[in-house]
Amino acid sequence: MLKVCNVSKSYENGTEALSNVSFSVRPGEILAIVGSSGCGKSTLLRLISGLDQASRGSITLDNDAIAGPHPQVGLIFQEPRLLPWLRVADNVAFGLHALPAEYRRVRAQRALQLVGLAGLGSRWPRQLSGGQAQRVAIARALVTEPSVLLLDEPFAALDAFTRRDLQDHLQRIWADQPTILILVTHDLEEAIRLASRVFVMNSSPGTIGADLRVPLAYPRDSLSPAFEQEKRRLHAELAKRIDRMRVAAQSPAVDQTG
Amino acid sequence: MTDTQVLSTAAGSPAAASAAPNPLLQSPMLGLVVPVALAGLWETLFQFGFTTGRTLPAPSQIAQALLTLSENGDLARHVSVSLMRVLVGFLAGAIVGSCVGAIAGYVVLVRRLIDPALQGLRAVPSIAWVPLFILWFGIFETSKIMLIATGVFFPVYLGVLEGITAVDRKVVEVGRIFRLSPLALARRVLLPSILPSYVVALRTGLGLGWMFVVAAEFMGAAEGIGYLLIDGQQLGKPEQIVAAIAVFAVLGKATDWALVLMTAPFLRWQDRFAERL
Repeated sequence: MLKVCNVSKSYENGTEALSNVSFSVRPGEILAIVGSSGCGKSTLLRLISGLDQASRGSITLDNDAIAGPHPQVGLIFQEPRLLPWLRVADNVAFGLHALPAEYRRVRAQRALQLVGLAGLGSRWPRQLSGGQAQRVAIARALVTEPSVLLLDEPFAALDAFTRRDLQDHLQRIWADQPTILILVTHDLEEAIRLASRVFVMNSSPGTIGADLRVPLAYPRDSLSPAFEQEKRRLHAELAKRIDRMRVAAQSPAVDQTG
Repeated sequence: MTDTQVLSTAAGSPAAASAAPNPLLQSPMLGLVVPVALAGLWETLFQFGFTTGRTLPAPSQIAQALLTLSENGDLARHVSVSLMRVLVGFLAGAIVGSCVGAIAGYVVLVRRLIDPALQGLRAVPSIAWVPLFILWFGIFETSKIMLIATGVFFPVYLGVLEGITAVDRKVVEVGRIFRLSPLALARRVLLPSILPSYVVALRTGLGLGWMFVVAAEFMGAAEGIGYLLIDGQQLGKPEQIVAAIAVFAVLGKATDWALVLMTAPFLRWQDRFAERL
């Protein structure tokens, strides 16, 4: 279980990015954090990943304090961030540095298979499309089999078709190995498609404004009436609780163009 | 009317060239066209008596000078002496420059301590070192090689330092999230990221090595291509001076090309604009 306890983060220039955030996530949950840009949702993710340190409060994974990058916590960035000098398979195996070469190769191949790119292991990153590169980045994070996978707007830069495809893929991968998935997004539809729980964040300073459940079974069909109904309910919920927030005003039509 | 015609041909020709690339225009020999044409023009003027070739010798005179020099083995000796000085000086300067640059790039305190002083020394012209180096290292090989190494050191140092400080934070974070040790981070992330700028730094260093070898050989040498220059000046042989300059051009280009060839396998991953042209 991942526990975030009274976490605050302020920067040297005095701005408070997060204020007194507390929550816990159980294995098997998919948590989506939505909010307008600059509300501190990426900051929160970076704190959980151990890349940045909280100013106050604690973050623990199974009672193990996260004081730096943790072997059980994987992070997928908004951009693929592949290393251009490594071939795709070597990029995927990048995190397996302590293992023998043959074992690394097999694990990387399996991870590539998982994201549907089994044949592209010998390519250079520059030869990939944006969607393929992001899949490789997902494979790279999955290869170490983390129990917490963090995703920082991983599909924001992709076109609508590729995004939909990757969302489905991620959901299927998650179904096979129920771990904790925390997804930061500004796309409410994406949050409802994937998450079992949605946090809505308020900005300056960042706090959790709402903690909403999404009681829909997987796999979710975004065209089904139940999904449509759930989306409307959440929209209404958001509008009611935090009508000042931009994300509440963001209609699904706007989401698709963005 | 005429304007639109000019515009349309101007706009049309690059597109046509890229659609059907002429193999002649792709050849690396293309770079020889301008110098060969100029040399041919000058030779023609010389042959028809428009110029005496006394201030700027004609290509045939230069060729004659080179031939005379190579017949008794002098040219080969001068070339190998200069080449050896550049190679030894380059290796020494590049190794020290890489190490100092890497330490200064990696340790902020070291950078703050030594970088301002080194930047100041970098601005000192090569010739200014000559008297001091002669005083310290004598008039023989050591002072020459030290001078060349000094010339190579600065661009390599600067290239490595800039390369390390310019490494993308985003790529470093990938290394951090997979908990690489500082040493592994340097080897698996920093080193490959700086490699392209490192190669540029080495090439600049090599070019400066060739510049400094002339300064070194001006300070009193009995051998080397720089000696040929001085010798040609003192004996009033312009064709020997131009011949020495031509030899410098060929050697500089050849060593640079060799360096590029040697480093190319490490940079195969690069997505370069030039390759698509």
